[in-house]
Amino acid sequence: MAYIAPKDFASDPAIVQKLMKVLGGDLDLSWMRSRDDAINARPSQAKRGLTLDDINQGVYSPDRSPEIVRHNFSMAPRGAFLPPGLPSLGYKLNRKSEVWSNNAAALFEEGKARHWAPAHVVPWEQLREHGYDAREAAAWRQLATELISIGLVTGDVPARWEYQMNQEFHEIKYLMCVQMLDAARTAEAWRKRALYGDGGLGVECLELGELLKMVADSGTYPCASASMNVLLYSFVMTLGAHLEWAAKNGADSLLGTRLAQDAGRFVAYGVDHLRCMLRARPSEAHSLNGHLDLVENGLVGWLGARAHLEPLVVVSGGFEPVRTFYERSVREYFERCAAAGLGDRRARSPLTKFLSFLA
Amino acid sequence: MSYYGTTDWTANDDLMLRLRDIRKGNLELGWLKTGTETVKANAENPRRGFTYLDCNVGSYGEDALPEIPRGPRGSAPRGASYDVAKQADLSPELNRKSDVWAYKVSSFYEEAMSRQWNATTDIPWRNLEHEERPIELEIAFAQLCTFFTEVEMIATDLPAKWAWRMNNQFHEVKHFIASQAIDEARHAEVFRKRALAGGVGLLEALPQAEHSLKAILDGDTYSEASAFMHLLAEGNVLTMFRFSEFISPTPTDKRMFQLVMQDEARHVSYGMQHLKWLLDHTPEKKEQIHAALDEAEAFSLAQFDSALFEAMIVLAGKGTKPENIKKGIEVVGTLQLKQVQEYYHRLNRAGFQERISRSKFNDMLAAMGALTGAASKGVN
Amino acid sequence: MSIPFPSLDFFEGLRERTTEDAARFEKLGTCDTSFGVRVGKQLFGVHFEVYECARVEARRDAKGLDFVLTAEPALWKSMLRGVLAYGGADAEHTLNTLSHLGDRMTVEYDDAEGHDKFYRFMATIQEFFDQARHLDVDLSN
Repeated sequence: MAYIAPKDFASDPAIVQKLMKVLGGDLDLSWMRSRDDAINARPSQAKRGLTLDDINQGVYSPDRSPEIVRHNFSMAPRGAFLPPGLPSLGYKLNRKSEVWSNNAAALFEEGKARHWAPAHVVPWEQLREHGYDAREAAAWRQLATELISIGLVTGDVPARWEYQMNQEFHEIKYLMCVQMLDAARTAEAWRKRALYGDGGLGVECLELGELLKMVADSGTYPCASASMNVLLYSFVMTLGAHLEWAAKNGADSLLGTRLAQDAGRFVAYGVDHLRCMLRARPSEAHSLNGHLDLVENGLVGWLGARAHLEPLVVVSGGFEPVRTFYERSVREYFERCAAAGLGDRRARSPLTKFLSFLA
Repeated sequence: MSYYGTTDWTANDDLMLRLRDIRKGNLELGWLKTGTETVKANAENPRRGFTYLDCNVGSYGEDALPEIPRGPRGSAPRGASYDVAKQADLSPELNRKSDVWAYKVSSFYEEAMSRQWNATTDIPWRNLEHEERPIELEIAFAQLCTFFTEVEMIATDLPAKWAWRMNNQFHEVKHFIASQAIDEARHAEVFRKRALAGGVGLLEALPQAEHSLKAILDGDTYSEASAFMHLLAEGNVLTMFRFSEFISPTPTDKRMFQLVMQDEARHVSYGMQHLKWLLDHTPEKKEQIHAALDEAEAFSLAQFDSALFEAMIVLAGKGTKPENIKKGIEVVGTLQLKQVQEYYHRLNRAGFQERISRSKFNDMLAAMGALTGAASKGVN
Repeated sequence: MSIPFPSLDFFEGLRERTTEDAARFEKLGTCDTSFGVRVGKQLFGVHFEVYECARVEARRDAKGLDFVLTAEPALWKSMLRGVLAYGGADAEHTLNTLSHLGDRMTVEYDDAEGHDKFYRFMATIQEFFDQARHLDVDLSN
């Protein structure tokens, strides 16, 4: 795999000669040229600072990026001069509609602006008087254990694709880095939640492990995005909201809120990504819907697993709040799919049948 | 590539019966019998908050993590109860602690989470339009920013390439390199913004540098890639950030370099501590790292004739007149010596002193008549 | 009453500022380092823990410090004049600019990792000195 230099530069006298030439004051300076396409990059709103949208103008705008990138496979940034001799870094995602979303730049800015550090933002000491009985406390730890797994694997998914993505799409790459950190923070925050005080982790939910492997092993980036950002994170987002509702102390309330908030960015990117792709290539809806049919089956396995559903019932004080939560999650997910251009998934989705089992 | 699980739940009668059971309130509660350890974990220092160091307790702690955590290959977090025979195998490729681990990695992660900053709002961008600078310096600065925009993304792509291959038992490392990925994306972002806000824009990409980046990305193992990137390349860039703060034409630029420098130093420290861990626990891998650094140093040497080098001279000398160039060369020559000197210090700190005598930089230093003191005690 | 520089009182004043302006230091993030400030022949130790400066002291030697910023009194004073005049170090007098070439201020260290902490916490350490803008400093000695 290693990339070996075309020659051993260390024993190349030309290198030292060039170095000594410059150190002798003989500079070339051919790179010193003014560009006639300068832009006026200034913060459009002082409070917001200098955003990516503020600098995405003229030749630097992603609007100038072609659907299929053929001109650059190096790490040269979009808009730079490309001299001869730039190597290929071997990117495998070179088609704009495979990755693009119009809201990625804004979501990247939002992710940075809303960064938080669990170590000192969560009022951990409130867990000393958490307000739960022993079974409820164990149920919270069980759900926390699952959220750690979700954080671990959903950090891997953007990592798996980010380095294969052409630098032309740097806004998406940046956002995927935010996703990696958001996912790491989810794992961190809920691990700390499970361990704080007299704590411990629960059992692995095997059905969740299966679902996460389905998401991680998605064969294409659009399929990975559909199954992680739109499907899985729709449920993570509403799970965060549900946990906030069920919380009996400030720490859990904050953790639930932040989970929903961070998950919301995954969902927002995923929906717009699919929308942009399906506008450019409507025929892709067929393969995406087929993929979602199968991953939704995996989601049904998790939602109905005893290791997940039972603790959820315990922290919710009964089955009815969980059914309401599931119905809401599924309904909102279907709405997102429709908004993204996938059409009405209700009739074909295994989630519809699953909901009928709950009635 | 696809995986769709072992069960078709829509055709699974057990699921329907189970749901009916749970709906009626009949919970089996098997998940209550975790068999996992109960520990006391609290924030040792309330000001610092509840950190991963505080979670280093019992079977959950990093100290309890063996060199080879046999068994787990799925998504179960370290310390949870799991059944290896039943869990979904995520096929991790880095399964030895020494493949990825670094001394102090939990501290580095907590530091990263605490010291995140925002290139959009933490740089006083509006001041830039009032800070006068000669156009030739702005062009040189734009070239410098183009270089940084270009190279910083490698330190996002490389961690990404390896993060998902790491066993989930090593979550501290996975989290740290996720923090590195966003740090470096922020660096690419801030330099792009600076180049465009300065009125010149992006200039030349650098083929020489790109070959180094390709070599980093294509490293055979994570540790080899880390030695190249964290220790050598990021070490060089760290020294360049310091140089760039020094020659920055405006206070706004100085602020930018002060902030990026902090992140870069954290990454270099991780690389140094990973190399030290690797050599302490698997000394048999020394020759492998030597071979990787032989090639890495050769790539680094090839960068000395780039537009970057000249831009730095123009910036350091504050112009293109002969007297400016003369002054610039003196400063940049010092920078290059310092890059090698600090690299040698870090090799020393990582317990890899023997690398110094083998380094390919020695010939270059000798050619520059400046080998003396390069590995001495640090004073700069 | 004005605080003379150099003096332990001056560093005590800066230490107090790190808690009085806690929000600014918290925004910059945690900072864990012990470093030295050598002003001519005088050496002061500065210990940061979590966000703020926990302790300052006069020292005889640099043992146990991550790094030591060393310069003649005149240079430190010129930096502080800039801080007092502009509310923070001017471009010619940031700690990095002063120390980068090692010709005006030096960064002494025994341990490469200790040295790297100067980089890792640069913005906090700069802000520590910039807080002198809130002190009535006597630079006449």
